Amino acid sequence: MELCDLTYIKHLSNGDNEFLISLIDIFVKHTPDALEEIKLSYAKKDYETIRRVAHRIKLSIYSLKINTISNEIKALSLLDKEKLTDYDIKCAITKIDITISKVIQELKELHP
Amino acid sequence: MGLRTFIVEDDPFYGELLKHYLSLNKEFDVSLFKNGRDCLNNMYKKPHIVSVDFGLPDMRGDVLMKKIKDINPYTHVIIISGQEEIAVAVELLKSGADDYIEKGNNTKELLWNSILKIQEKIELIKEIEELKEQINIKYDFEKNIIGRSAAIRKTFTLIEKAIKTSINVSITGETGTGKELVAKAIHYSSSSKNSPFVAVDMAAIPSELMESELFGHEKGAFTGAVTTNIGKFERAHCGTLFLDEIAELDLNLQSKILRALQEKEIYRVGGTKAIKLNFRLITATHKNLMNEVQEKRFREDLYYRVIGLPIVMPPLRDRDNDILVLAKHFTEVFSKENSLQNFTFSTDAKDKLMQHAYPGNVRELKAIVDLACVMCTDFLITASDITFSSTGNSDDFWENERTIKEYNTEIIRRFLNRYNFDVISVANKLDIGKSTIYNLLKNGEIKK
Repeated sequence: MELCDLTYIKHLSNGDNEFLISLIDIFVKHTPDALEEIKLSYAKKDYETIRRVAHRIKLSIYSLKINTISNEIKALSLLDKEKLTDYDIKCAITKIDITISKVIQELKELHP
Repeated sequence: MGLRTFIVEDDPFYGELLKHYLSLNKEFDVSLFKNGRDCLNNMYKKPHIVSVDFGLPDMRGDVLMKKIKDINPYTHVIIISGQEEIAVAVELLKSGADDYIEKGNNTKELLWNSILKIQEKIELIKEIEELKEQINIKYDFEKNIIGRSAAIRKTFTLIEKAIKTSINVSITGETGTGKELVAKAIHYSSSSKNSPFVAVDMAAIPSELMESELFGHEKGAFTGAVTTNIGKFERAHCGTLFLDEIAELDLNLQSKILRALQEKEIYRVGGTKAIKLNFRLITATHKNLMNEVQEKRFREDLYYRVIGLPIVMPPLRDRDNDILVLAKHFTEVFSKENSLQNFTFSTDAKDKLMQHAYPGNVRELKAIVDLACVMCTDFLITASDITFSSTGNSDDFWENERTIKEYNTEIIRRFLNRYNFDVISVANKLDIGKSTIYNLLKNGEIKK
């Protein structure tokens, strides 16, 4: 796996493979919906929803060690309009969206 | 029964992860809810702990916490938040959150530790409640002040009157009659039983430390006062202050105590701020306080402040058959404490117990019975198992042969000691003239 690292959640699963698969299923099923909500919110300039949804999925991303987008998800979860321009937000969302799509593809290949 | 723990987390991935992780502890019974509404709908399950994500979709964490506390104020709430602002954390803790955890990589470990701490707290609270209940049982006077004599029944009536009000109570009686037991019985049976009972033995505290001990002191009030110290009066706020051996107070401190009782406020040593207090005062002494007033050793105005409802604890020798009732009770306690079968008294043992004067009262009787339980064989206590060792008992009295006059003087001396040199009481008790006693005191045959 290139973009994520399952070591941490495997360790937490404590050998319970069924739980590990169910956890991956949850990520695969719910994270695209969350990203869709973020993109729609950006279109409506609803920054509060962007912050809330980013905060919600932040720990899933940390748990799967998707380190390439950890700064972006943190920035969105703290969304400070004085520090981030609309362009910054758009770039962060795009990067997160592309990376998550690839991670999901990898996870599906691993656990079809 | 497991520690019922609710997790309210809108991220299903992280929620499941937390649930799985916490469930590794078999003592945790974990349920997961994805929003505040579902959590509130399940509050009937009476969770011990609710872990709340601050940024829930349907309500903020602080709002959910308030609703949880409204339903059950005893539910512990942990807030998990990504706010990363100290001010938010402080506000949440002030509003009643038990802990605040920042959402991050080590959230679940912090949550685990926080739950363990709360579990410890819950167990301690439970233990304290059980101890309080035990104290209430221990000082339930009807079960624990043993006796059926007219003298002790009169005391029971007065205790009942004291329990129903918050009147100050003054208890007098010889040593070993159970003055502190009565003070505790009044407190733990009264409406302020859940507030502190603070006992101070005035005879045991050096006079130079007494003021600081009673009223507390401010930091720097005197050499060695490195921290502010709260005194006994303040500790007794809303409860009962029991001043044992109050007759031992020196006159200087008596005026300060009088002021505290009159104004219902105190000043710590070195302090300038008046501290308002409310407590019931129970005092005890083995001396005749009115005599102390007449002898100018106790302030009259303080006497009237503390006297309240006077309860006189009868000496054991005036409690008729209570000696045997108590002796039986003490054997039962001894049996229970040592996991032994019950003891019985032979007739000669009962007679011997009834004939003794018990200058040490109930305390002395208990020591005698405990020793007899150890000394006897086959759980039957006979006269030979009963040993009187206190000073002033009848055996000592007859040890040296004396003249009738010497016996008379000795009897009067012993009675004067027993009644704190209250000449009138002794004259009445012995049915002799007061002048006889005054003459013995005057010519030095009896010394104070």
